[in-house]
Amino acid sequence: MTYGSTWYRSLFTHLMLIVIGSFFIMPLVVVFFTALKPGPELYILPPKLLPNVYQWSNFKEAVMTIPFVKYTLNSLFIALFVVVGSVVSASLVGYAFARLQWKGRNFFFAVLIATMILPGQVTMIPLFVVFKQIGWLNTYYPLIVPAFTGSAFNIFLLRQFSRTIPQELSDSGKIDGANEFRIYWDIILPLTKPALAVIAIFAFMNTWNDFYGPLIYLNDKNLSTLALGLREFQQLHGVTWNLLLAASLIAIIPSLVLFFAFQRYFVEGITLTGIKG
Amino acid sequence: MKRSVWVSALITVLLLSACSGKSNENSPPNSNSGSESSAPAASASNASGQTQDEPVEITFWHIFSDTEQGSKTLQSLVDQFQQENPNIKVKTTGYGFFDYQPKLQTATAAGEAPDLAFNDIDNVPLRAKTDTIAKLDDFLAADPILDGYSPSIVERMKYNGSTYAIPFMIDVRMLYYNKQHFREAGLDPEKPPANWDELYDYAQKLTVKKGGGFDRIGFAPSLGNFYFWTMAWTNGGSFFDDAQNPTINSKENVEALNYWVKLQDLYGVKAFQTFNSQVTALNLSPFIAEKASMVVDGNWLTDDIAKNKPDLDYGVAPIPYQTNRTTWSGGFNLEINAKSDPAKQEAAWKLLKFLVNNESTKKYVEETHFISPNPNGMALTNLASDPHFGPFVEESKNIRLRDYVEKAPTWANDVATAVEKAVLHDKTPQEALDEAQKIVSDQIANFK
Repeated sequence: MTYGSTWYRSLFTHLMLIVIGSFFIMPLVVVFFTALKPGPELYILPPKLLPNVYQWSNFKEAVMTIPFVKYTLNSLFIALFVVVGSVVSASLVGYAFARLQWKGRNFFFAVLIATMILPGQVTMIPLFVVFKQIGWLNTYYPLIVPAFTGSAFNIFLLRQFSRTIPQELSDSGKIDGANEFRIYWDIILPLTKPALAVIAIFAFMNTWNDFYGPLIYLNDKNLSTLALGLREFQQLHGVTWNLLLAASLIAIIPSLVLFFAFQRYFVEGITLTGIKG
Repeated sequence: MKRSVWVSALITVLLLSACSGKSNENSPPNSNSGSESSAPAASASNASGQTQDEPVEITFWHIFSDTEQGSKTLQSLVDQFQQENPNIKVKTTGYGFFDYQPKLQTATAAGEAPDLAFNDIDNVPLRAKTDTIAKLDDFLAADPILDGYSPSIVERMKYNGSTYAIPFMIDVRMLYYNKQHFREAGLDPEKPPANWDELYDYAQKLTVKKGGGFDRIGFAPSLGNFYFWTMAWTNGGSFFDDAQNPTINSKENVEALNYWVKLQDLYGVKAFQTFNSQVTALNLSPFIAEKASMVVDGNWLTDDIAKNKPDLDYGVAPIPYQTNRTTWSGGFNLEINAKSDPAKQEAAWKLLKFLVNNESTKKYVEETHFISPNPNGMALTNLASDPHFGPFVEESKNIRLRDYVEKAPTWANDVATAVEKAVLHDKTPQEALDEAQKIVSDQIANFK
């Protein structure tokens, strides 16, 4: 292959990627510029992309109109617990399915996978009734505790990952006299770090953006999360779009940061399970 | 994996989901209906004037989200109330209008409904019948705060002769028209259309075509906040007679639907849908965007215009009518929870009284620009003399609430469907309304 054809190829590939990439990022660009428009400019039809006046104060106003900091801290609180819960439960259960031999292991694994068939809408009402009966409504418990009971997807991920670790490592631990938990904690767990990172990242992003759970379980405005708080911009006779979009942009910053910092793990997550989370 | 394992696993999962689905709802708390009606009577005797000594905490829900002026004004009113009544603590929460009903219903079903709550103005019997809201007769006997209110509104607060709610907010729809567009089309900007012929004529003159579609629409009834029943009422039509028999396909209503379709036909279905998707998709008013020259919309649009297009040269006129000058009002009441204990109902009544008194009405109306049904309160405000709000205050004398029909509570949806079909020319107006008439009659006949 001569140097010339490589150069053309590279340019072509880059151009294609830039064009396709800009299609995908276009909505975000529109959101960004709309968030900068003063109210009257929203009514210009046909719509113009770039605002005439760059009203950066929209961001400040958006943050001040709703108790932004409180909602952010609430979201963080829930997200942190959910991440911890997801990681702990998935790794423990995944280890049990992958590295331990016990009667009925295959049966229960089949049950686990089968529960992934049930859509959330089916289990939503029974769950709500259960939580109401035990008095957990209007608290964070319904949002946090289920993470500690394991999610089928995460367990599946960890199980698959754990199976790739050579049996000799566990055996060496056993020879040295470690019990199962120590083998799990000292040998297997550190090796599954990539999978754990994937779980942690997905758990964080899903919880951060979760609108539905807080909507049905939380009544008290003080407990509200950021995703739910954005709803406050919808008013009786319309939506203040520029403020809503400004607030939304700020709200997705953690997800963006997380994604760019840990891109590698997102891709690994897809290659490990073939599911885009 | 062996197939038998999968099968038994699947059965287990199905059993698990079936078990969780068998939720026994506790028998709804509405079963004890007789008790609360006597409670207000006993405590109403000492309601007026005397402050209670024991501290009481009540919850109050309203329909404004935190970013709205209504939320701020109500909070400051509540704060003022708490200062004057140090033994009563009020926990105020506002859910946006679209979340409000689901949240309220969930809370009611869970037995945690707020002590004082907003609710829709036109369906009081729905909640009165199920004893969800408290009778206010004894409270009113001691404090007749409804004196002076329009009798037709007061009637709508009643069920079986007892009053169950106090009206708090009404709205008024009128014809907004763009004076600049009028001048451009050679029309007199001080003479807005007054009847259907003029409206049709003006709509034609004001429409501006572009390409195969429209750059500007003169007047389309489905833009803004018009709704078919409003137009039908202006033609003397009614959807139910005094005995609540449906008269959906009456001659006047068919005439109205004919006219509605005639207006929409100025634009054609396809071109109008294109216009709609470009202009109204974001819920932004086409009138403010100057893409519609005339539109029937509610009093709130005036604030939107002031905020987003303050130099718009526009006027406001009564909705063009054939026989009856009238307009539709939605609105909200304040209602007290029937399941709250007597001390809380007392406190809720005090808060209610405070919120609808003349000074509070003045503050509320002047800050939010909503219209109150309290005539003495409205008289204190400066709204009647405001050049833009004045016409709405004047027109609020002609409002009409939508009918509530217990046996066919969703009749409005059936009428809306009929209008849709007529506009799309799936059915003629006569056929469409005949169909709606039949559907609603059947609902009434089948009501158990």
